[in-house]
Amino acid sequence: MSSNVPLDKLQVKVEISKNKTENVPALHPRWVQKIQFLKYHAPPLDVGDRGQCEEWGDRLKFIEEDLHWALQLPHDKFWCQIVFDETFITLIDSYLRYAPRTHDVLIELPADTKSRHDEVHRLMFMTCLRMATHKESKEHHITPSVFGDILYENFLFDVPKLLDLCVLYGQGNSQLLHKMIENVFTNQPKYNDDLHSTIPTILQVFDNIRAKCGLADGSGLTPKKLTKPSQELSELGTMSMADFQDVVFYLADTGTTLACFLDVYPPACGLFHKEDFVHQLAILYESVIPEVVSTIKKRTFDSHSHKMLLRQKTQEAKSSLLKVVHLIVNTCCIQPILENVGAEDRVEDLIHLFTSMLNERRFLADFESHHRFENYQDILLQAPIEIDEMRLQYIQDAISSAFTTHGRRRKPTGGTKRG
Amino acid sequence: MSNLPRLTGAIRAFSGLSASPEHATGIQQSDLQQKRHLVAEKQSNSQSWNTLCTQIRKEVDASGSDIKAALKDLSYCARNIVGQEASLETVEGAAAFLFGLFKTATMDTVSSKEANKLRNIFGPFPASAASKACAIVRKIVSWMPEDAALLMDNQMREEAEGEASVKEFGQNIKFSCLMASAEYLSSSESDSDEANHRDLDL
Repeated sequence: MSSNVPLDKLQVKVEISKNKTENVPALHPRWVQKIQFLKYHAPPLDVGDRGQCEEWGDRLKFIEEDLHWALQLPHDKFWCQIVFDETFITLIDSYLRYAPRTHDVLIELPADTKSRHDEVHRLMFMTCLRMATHKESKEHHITPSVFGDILYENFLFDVPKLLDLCVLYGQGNSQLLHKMIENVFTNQPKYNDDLHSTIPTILQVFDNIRAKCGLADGSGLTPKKLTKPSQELSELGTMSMADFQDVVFYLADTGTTLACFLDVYPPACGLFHKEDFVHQLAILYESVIPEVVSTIKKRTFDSHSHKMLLRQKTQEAKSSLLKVVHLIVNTCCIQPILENVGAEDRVEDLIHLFTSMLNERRFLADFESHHRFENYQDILLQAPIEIDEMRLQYIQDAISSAFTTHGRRRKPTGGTKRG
Repeated sequence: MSNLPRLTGAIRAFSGLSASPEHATGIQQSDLQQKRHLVAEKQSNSQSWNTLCTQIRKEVDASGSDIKAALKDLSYCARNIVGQEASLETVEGAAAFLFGLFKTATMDTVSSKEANKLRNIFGPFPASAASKACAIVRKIVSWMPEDAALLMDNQMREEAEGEASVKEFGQNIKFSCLMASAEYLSSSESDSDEANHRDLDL
């Protein structure tokens, strides 16, 4: 089917009886083929269970074949299938939900199954790329505004799916992913509203994590009973090991997902910045991360490897949460200052932001070890505007003090000289 | 792994921005069974089973009752392989598939290659049913003159031709399949995805 008419306006002549034809939209349920796409299931936990593994492998094989089939469909047929076949979008949704993330602990799959899973991973990305493309070629395209409505009204994309896409594919495919997401947000501004209304949910997640850890009051204003710290067992120390592991994994996933999304799609940083997100994240970090680190030291684990795993996940949580802060600060304050776009307001923003976080001393110490405030300061001082250096120095002093008390230098990455 | 706590799981559950808050996983094993039936049906639809039966009746040098019994037995084996709850179309499709699979077999036992093909389409199956089907098909083929068997083989081959020229979306797009690395978050990321983006207007 080749014409310059957009798919949403394209009509196809169909013979309904002898000498009688009627026009049917090219984008119509009647063109859907019965495929019955299977839902994706996460890899089995026990590779020793041959039956379970074989069944999972069979599922993967069908998914692979069906995705190849869908990607080979002509433009119009692909869109009919994705819009009108619920099983297709359910497959995509289930993959984005349950596919192992780069930060997940993976079981060792047999080589042939691993290679099939990699292929499904690629095919899924291409399917999402095709879904995010309104103009596949000169002949095959959809009117941009209609394209935006199709995506939104049929839930082809939603905010959680976009976050999942970034965490699954951001590493190594970020440029293409950026274009995809930008195209989705550009053609359907409602996604911006949705992202905006997602932020309170994420902040609620922060509250839930604190509550789960018995650290619900993050303000530090409530007086605490004085006990010897070494004798005190926090809620993190008394909860079941499975619950404790969930807290650590949840923190790591939250940090990684947000960091990947904001890294791939920096325009979203502005929405987070407006909602005082960085300050709230610093409060979460301050109250939960040191407790988690201390609990890992104190708790008794079944095996050393389990302890190491949780330490590694905590490290991931720390790095990624700090990266989220850096990305927001960099996109919303540093870059505009460098580009001299509303620089005075952005400087004020930055100073206000760091001033609001001066109580979160452990957070500041860790942040300093990953992203030095001095580097931000250097940029600020080069800006062609007047800056109250005293205020900057005040922040720098507070961070240095926090770092002296709680900080740890990063290991040098280059060669070191002795003597 | 499907129970791992995820931020996006919480957003799906509490933000009201997704189509459905939660899909149950692990409890719908039957979708795999249904899919197998559907694929078996498509491999060879009921029309082609009927055509196959007609052709066999025409070509085979054996009594009508023997042919009828053999085809009935083959159909019975197919039912054992696809499952008792499968529809008639699925069973007939599977029977036609079995005929196609075993018509060139040289022994009454199922080879590992044939067993793999069966398992790929039908999932786990009773080996006795497959062996019996193999023996029945060999018996039917032995009743046929050689040129008739050859003709049927060519017809099936022609149907499968023409697939190589199909173009697939994304086949020229560079994709990086990087997996787990805990270091990447803290290190500076080098995005080596200067992809060949073709003329996609994103």
